[in-house]
Amino acid sequence: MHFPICNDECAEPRPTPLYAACAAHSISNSWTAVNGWAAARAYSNPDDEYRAASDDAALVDLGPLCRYTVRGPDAASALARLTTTPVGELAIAESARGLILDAGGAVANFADLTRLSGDLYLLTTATPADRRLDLATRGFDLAVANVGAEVAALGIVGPAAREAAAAAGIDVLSADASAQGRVRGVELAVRPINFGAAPGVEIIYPAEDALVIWERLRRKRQLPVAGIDALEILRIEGGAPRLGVDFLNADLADAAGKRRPDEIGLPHLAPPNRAWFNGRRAMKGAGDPERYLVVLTVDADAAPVGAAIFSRNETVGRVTSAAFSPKLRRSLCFADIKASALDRPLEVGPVDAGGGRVLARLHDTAESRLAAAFRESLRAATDFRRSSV
Amino acid sequence: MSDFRRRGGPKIEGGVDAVVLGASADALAAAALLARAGLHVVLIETGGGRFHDKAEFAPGYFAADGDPIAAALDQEVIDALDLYRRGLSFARRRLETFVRFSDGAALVLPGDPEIGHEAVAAMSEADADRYAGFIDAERKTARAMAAWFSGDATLDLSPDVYIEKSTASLDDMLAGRFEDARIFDYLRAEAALGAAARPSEPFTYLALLRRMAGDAAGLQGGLAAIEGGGRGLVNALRRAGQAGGVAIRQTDRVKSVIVEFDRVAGVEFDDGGQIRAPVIVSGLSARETFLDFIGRARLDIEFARTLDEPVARVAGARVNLAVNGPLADPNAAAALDRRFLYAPSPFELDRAFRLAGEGSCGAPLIAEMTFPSAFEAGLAPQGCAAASLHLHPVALRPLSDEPWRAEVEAAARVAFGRLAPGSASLITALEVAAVDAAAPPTAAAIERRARLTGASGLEGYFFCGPEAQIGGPLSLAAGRRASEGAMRYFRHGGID
Amino acid sequence: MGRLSQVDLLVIGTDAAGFAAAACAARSGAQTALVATGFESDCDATIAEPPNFVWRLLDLHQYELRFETLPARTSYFADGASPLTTVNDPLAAGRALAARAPALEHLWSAFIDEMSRPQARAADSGVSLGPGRYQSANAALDDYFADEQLKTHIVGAALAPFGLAGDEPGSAAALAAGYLQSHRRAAYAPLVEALKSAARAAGVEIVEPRLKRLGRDGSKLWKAALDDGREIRAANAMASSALLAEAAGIRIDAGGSPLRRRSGAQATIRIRYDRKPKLSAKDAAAAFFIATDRDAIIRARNAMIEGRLDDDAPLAFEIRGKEIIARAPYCPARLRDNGETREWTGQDRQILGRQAAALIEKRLAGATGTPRDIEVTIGPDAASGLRRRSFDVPPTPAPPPSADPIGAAVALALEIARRE
Repeated sequence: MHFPICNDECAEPRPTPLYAACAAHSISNSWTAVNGWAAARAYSNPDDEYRAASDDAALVDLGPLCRYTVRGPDAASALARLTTTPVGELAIAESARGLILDAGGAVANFADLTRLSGDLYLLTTATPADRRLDLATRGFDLAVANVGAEVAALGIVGPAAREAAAAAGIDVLSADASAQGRVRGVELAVRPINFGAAPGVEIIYPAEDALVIWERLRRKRQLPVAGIDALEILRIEGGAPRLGVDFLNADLADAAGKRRPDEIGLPHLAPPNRAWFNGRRAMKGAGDPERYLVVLTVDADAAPVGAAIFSRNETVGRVTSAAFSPKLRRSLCFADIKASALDRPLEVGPVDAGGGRVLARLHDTAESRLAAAFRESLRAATDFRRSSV
Repeated sequence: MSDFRRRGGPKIEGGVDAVVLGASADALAAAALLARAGLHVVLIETGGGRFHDKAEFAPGYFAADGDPIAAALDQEVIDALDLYRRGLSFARRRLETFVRFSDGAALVLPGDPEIGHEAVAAMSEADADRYAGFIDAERKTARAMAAWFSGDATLDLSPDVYIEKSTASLDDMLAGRFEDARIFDYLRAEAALGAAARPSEPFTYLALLRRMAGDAAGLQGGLAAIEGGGRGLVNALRRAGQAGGVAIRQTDRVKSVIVEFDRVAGVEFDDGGQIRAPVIVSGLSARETFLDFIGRARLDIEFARTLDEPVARVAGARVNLAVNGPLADPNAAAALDRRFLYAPSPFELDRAFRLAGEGSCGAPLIAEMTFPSAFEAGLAPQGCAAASLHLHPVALRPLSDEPWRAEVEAAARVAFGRLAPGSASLITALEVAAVDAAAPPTAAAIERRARLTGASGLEGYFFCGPEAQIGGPLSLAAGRRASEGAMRYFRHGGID
Repeated sequence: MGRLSQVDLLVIGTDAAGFAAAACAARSGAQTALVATGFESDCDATIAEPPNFVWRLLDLHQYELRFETLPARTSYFADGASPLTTVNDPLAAGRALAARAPALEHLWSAFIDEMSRPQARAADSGVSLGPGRYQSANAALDDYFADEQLKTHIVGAALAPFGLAGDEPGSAAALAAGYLQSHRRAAYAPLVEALKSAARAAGVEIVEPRLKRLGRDGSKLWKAALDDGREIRAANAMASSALLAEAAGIRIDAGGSPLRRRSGAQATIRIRYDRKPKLSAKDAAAAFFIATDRDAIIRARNAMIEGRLDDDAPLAFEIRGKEIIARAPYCPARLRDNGETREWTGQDRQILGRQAAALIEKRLAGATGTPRDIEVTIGPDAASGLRRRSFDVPPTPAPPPSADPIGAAVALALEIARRE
């Protein structure tokens, strides 16, 4: 899950629990707001932060994401209804990714679920889900609390994330499991996260102790802090769409703007044969997608957001978000394209003042590989639906 | 196919094509129609809604469940089930409506709405033409809307006309239209009967068109008295069902509906027994149908909101009266085999709505009265009459609420006194028999019906409960639509 | 100002919305005439700022207009209960509400967000989380919140201006009609003058005599018969405001809006003091509302329908320097005494005015002094106008009631003008 769209017009962004710690490292002093919380665009410069995050490890203040605890005997069934995560299959300390769909099967939010104990779950969403959560849990025996202000959420992103955490005494059991523990008297929970291309961990602990864990991590290794701009590059490389930028929340969009999981490249997060979730019945009746969100490499230094995608002189889509990849020395962008144009050669334009068009190619990302494998497995498996074969 | 028993375990029954839940007229109609189409149907009479035979509410006086007046019966159901041959008949067609106003004046509207203006002319000559023109035009519009009221998704009406008719309040459409304000009082009473919203509030006009759209015994907007009362219709439906092979079972122990891979697979009972069937039609309330038998955990969040809509505070009460002797007022006594309607003045009605909202019952209020003893022998001693009053609006309270019941009884006496002046002392017994929550505005009810019958997404599950009925008078269209949907589903091999 | 006998558009109603609509239609090229109904009054005292597209069309920067923002809303409840304040910024308001209940912090911003979306005004609740098209505001609020005082506060902010109590079907649309979002307001009189000048400058024929009767000439043209016997014919006609036109006995078509006032009238009470109320500038810069709870609002509305003024009648007010402008949204248009209906007398108005001033003084804990002067105006009465309508004429288009009456009227005028 990535941060949702920034709201630059936010009048008074709140400082996250980790703000005091992070702000000290901000050289460029470039801030914006996400979900009403202050978030840094960059601390030093995006290139260095990106390099650290993709080759080594970098710290990220994950405070702006929305967190809820759901506790009670009916917590599992209510969450299974609300999200597409495999709630019933989660063992204690396990984490899973999923989506929140509306009754029409369109994506309303991202959802990461962690089972902290027998009947206590931690739900992390990209944008506030209070209303939907309130409606979804009516009539169930459970208690919901929005804990965003009470926890500090520190992310370590990069291949060396686990080592960095382990060096600070934070025990991360395995690649898939989260853990709970105590470091220097502070209760914390750790779960694996995926920031687009880079793996990582998220450490959640009480806000009052924000500096304790931060100091501990930094004492072992002077990790840089990464801002949103650096993470943008990582997420586009990884193929993770951004809510509000690449597609609209179903609760906000009109009929034409709603997107289903397969239309945004994440069909594997809402498998139809999982235990029933909100929107699954609508998914069954839906036809093939007409539009797809894909990642393209563009043979240019920049691909302006909003630039048109052409196929044989016909406009078939638009660039929704873009970033320059230092690795590929090319611009990578997310684009919303007509399904029929996927197999044809594509061009993006205009990319510069001259108005020229440049070749664009479909780019394989971690998410698109997962999606392809999922589609393949669906085709191969025996389906409870009558097939048209 | 036979049913098979597990050794010592609960019984699982197969070989059934459709299970129908509920004992309402709509459920019976749906079951009979499905059986006629060749399906093997089991109807489970569960929950309330079973029609009892007549009950003695005072020595020598009997009352029966169900509405004896047909105003909107779906002709397609009558034809398809051949109900006339199964015993459905009318004791009297083209019932007159005897209207009383707050100033004591009376208006007798003939059973044929097309000549109503002749009666209006006697009251107000200036309005006769206007009334004729108005009724003509609105009956035409109502006819165009009839299929939509019955459950057709499409509406054959221009968008402007639709917006005007569906969003207007009764006041919007009628205030100032007639010189004699009493005509407005009458139309207001017709439309507001059974409605939760005041006539001045938006969306209330459509209820009048709904009343005009129904037909009885072949006459649009007409009224007919069913032979045998409401039971007469139900018995005819039962016979039709039995003739088609519907197996009727009585039990209160339905626990849930079995859902497999988003389609229904059968019904489960409290003792673990099951009946497996690919089609289930429910005539029970929406709460029971979805929340109790399926459960929130398997319903879309947006769909569940429909089920959580609050119930109106306002209701209609049915009161049975024992009238010991002939009516004193010659106008009212002239014929008991018609429909009586008290049309309160605007002030009286506003006051009644206020008091109903505050938890009690005002008087006078809208009162619709019939004398079932005039249509069926034996319901009252010789020379006496059994009357059935429908009062609206009253507060929605349980029948056990004593102070409220006393207020309703007092209002019933006042209403009777207004309808038949000088005869209030003849009432020797009163029974508040039922209270029904008032209905939301017609367009809202239609939208709710569309959601309940279509948006649950559960394949094979069809709904024809009380929320699928639009307008006061029983129509059976909900049962028909549910059975049509079920048949389509069944014939396509279980795929929608 | 020529004596045109036929125009493209006839605007009925010389209120601010009427002047603006006529002026903008004229600027768009339609030959426009504007006629008064005789029911206009400046009882509103303040009005919402015209939207940007109207400002641009009429170049309103030429006129000396001042607007004030009311950054907060404050509601007072029964005696002794502490007031509730929400600010316009949803996030800041949410944080302040967290003191009442932690969940409110996020539910409030979700609620304001939902109500600001255009979809909220046309929601089909089968597929959205917003209020349904036929839903009452009270049902929609009960769906969101449990805090009764907060719900009373919202009803005061969003529904009282329409004269609605919250239990009417379709009243949930009022929550999305714009009153909950921030508003800049101007004093009514200067704005009307500016718009009148703009209308003259745009070439609108502002007809002096009042409208006597609106009819049709054949089947194509509107025919307005004036007080002085003249007639104006128009290809199109529109009313500047649904309430005004209905009060004048004109049958209107407001697009099916459920927000039209169905009974009673709003009374405006202007209370002038010798000095400004003793409140900090921050506390004074708010839109105030006084009501015990939602049941009291419904009781007041019921009394209004029956021709009585409830003792506990809700009151809205704003402070403008040494003057307090109060509005009693649930006033009967005519009073009913002993079964007889009568008009408001001067004494009735005095009593209402004094009651309002006393209530405000009590809730503001004596921050106001003794009033020097109280002026009470009863607004237009739509319900009695209904009975005078002629059904031989098709309904006249009118803008749907909203928090932005000028914008709505101009939008309708432009739509009609562009159809030509």
